[in-house]
Amino acid sequence: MSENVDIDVEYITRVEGHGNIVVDVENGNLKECEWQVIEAPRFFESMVVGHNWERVHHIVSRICGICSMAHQFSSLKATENALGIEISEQDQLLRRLGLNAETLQSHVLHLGYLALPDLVDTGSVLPLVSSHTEEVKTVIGLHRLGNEMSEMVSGRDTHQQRLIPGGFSKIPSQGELESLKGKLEGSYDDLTAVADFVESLSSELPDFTRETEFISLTCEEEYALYDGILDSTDTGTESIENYKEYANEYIVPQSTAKYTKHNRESYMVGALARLNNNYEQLSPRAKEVAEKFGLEPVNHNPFMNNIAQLVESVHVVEESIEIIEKLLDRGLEPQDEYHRPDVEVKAGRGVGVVEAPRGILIHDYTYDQNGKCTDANCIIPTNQNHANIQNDMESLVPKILGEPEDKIEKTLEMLVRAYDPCISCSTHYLDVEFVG
Amino acid sequence: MNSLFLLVEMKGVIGVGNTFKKDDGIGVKLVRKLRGRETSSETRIFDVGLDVIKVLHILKDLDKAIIVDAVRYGGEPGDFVFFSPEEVNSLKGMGSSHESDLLDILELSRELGESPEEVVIMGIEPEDDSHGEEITPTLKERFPELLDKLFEKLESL
Repeated sequence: MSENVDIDVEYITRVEGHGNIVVDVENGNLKECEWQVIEAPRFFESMVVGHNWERVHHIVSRICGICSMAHQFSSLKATENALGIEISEQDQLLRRLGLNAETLQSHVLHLGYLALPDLVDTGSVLPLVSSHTEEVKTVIGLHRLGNEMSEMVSGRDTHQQRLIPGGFSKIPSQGELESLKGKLEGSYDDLTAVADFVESLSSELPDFTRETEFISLTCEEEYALYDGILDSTDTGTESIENYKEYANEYIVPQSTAKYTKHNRESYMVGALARLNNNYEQLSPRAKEVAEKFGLEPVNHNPFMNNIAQLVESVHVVEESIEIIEKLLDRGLEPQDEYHRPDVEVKAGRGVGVVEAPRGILIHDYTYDQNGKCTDANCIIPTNQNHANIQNDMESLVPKILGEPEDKIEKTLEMLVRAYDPCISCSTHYLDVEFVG
Repeated sequence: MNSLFLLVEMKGVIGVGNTFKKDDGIGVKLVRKLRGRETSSETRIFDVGLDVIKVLHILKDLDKAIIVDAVRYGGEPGDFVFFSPEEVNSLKGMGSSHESDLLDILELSRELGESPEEVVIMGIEPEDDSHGEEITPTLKERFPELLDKLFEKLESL
């Protein structure tokens, strides 16, 4: 057992945003063990106040460059609920397709660029280009497919402009949908190749288990991503309107982000939580991948979130093909190029929720009679996971103290990365010095 | 590459940044304004916002690229510098989180053999990247000049 350990990881790499890991062990006693979130708060909730109902979703889209569509859907649903705006079945199907595209983009990005280097033990994805050229190209190809799908559905692959309250300002053509269906069908081989590659490295995933609560959406009709009600492995289901009773936000000294808790000291959201709650609704091919890794509910190993993301990548491809078939079978309803739904503006409050790639994402808005936003509340997935990361760390560190310090450090970094935290994408400017 | 296929040289100008954080959004705001200008060559304009990894996918179809971004390089606010990715180190080291994402992506593009023959970064020193939709008055005053210099660089590539 290591008598003295001093780990101080400032700005953990390969996560979105800034967080620190601090571990201090003196004479075999764990004195300090902290997951610190050190980014400045971004105040998006106050930024949308005063803005018109038609504009709010564009503003919150800029919260994140990776899950900008999830933020827009959550925002649009909140606005639509507040103002009583209904959307057609066709537009609901297209939104599901869009969210699937973003889930594929985000999961492949995390698995391929951020998590895989740990399993191969390289510092970044760059050395993999020469050592595992084909695998890297396959991952990039899948990422490009997700981007293309997103662009086709929503006009752009990030910070989308076609998404509006009431539906879409423009929709894809039948030909575009047919072409996309072919590409998705053609991606099964690539998904299998990635699954085989990850399986060959899966012994590198730490075998660590700590019982916790998992919260996600659940839905009778489908594996819940776009719609559903809250579901906890501890306490069962709850309506979305009561979300505050789930995400009890609180402040901790080591973090600038709010933490949340529900039935226990912490809970987990994201791919593993969704899989734990809704396993039976996964698509057939996705279940095959889950079985390949022995992943079945309820799995309490946070490192398996990486595998749950892989399983969901297969699921969203398979489900998207089904959605496209449904859209083509029913025939696309014609829509004007710059469609604007008729909306009777009125005062009201609405809550919107979707499963962002990293977990439940809730937006809650109040509008005045002129359609100006007077109050906003956003519950972000990563914030819901911070307390669980902290508790995992406290449980994991004593178990691995026998390892060399650099191994402990790597394992803790892998733990944080497994949650795929998106601490903040809001500031990104380069900080450089010139060579020579 | 599309351009080889079409036998036409394809240039691209890529704006990166957060338009809700004052000067952090200068890159995006400049490329949006560039959209209105007629260029002498085939040029595509991209506003990638915060989706920095998208740059990887954009570069593969370009022969020459300018990436416009807020860069802290020690200049006065509003000053600008054109440089190639090889000329700089990130202060936080390669593989770090947000600051070096773009440099990582450019290296990945080179490693994959997808990088354009020429990539130039136009870095503009920000004054303030706190919350706000407007760039600071300092950068606003320099904006026409920055736009002209960006256009000149694009034409000279």
